[in-house]
Amino acid sequence: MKKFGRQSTTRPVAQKHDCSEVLCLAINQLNNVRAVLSGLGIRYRDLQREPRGVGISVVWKHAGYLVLSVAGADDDLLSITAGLLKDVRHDRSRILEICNVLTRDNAALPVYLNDETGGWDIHVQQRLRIDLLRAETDFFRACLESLPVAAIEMRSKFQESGIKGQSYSLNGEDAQHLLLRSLA
Amino acid sequence: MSPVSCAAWGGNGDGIDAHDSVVRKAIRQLERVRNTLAGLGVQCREVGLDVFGAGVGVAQNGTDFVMLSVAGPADGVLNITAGLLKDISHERPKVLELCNSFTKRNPACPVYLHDAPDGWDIHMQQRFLVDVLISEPWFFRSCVEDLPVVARSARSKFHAAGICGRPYSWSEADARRLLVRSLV
Repeated sequence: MKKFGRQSTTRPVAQKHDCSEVLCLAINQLNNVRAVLSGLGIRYRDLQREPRGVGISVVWKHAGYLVLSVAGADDDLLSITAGLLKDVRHDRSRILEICNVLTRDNAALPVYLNDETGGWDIHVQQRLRIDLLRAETDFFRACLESLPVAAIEMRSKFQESGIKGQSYSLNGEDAQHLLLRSLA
Repeated sequence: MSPVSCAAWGGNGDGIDAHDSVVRKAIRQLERVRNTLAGLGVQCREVGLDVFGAGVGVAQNGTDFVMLSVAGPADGVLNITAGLLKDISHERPKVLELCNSFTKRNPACPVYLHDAPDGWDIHMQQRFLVDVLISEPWFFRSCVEDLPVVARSARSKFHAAGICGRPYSWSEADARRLLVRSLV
């Protein structure tokens, strides 16, 4: 896959004076993730810090993007999230049925309805230990490359079932929206 | 019996030829899994074969257990499954809501409804590459040890929400039920 975005740079360790202690841990862990991505030659884009955690996006030219996030409360875990649809119509029972089928058929890629007050979204998210991803960089790369492809297939299943919603676009606003929700 | 000397329940599955090409690949991978478990000092019990694959059970506290299974068609992947409840009441909307809620909050341990004609069960399943688990046995150990604990907590929440069903017990019948269901 071709990638674009800003190449990573070495980042300083987060200092406690510019973040809460919990958030500092998340920032330092995300820096560890950034270092692995740089080693793999995978480019990423920085996203704005959220009160609950931090994240970056990895953009794939023909397959959308992923948000990689670390929550302050769970700083040893990396959430790798793809947005399938946002602002979906409130056909709740049908959405939950499809989420259940997709998760049952492949629990490696869990799909769920994120029904916050600002709108209902459907996500697929892998949540993995950062120390595992640092030790198994080929596996990390495989996760990042396969999730967007799986997300395209999953999105089409929702659409074929008549679930209406918008696609996540490549703009920074949608990526920031996905970061915020991935931390919920 | 494998060289690891797992305890065994029953035979190799009724009417299933262990040398069938699909199952053979699963058995080979499961052998590697058992060897890793033996190196970790984790006791397992052979549950046998199904037309789609093979599995072993690992008990915890005498009652809870996880099923480790490999499906022949996806023999690079290990399913680590905990049965939360079996033969649950057919309160489908409420069950799907709870499954979605658990999966959304913790995609590391996805929860789903498995609705076969002979009964509706609720499972929690992790799915990882066998090669990764073998390369990182510390991580494999944490999966096998942690999943029953997370499953126990989730089970109590289903009960608290009024979902009626029976817990899986560490018996041959329940282990075989979970094996078969973890594969399809």
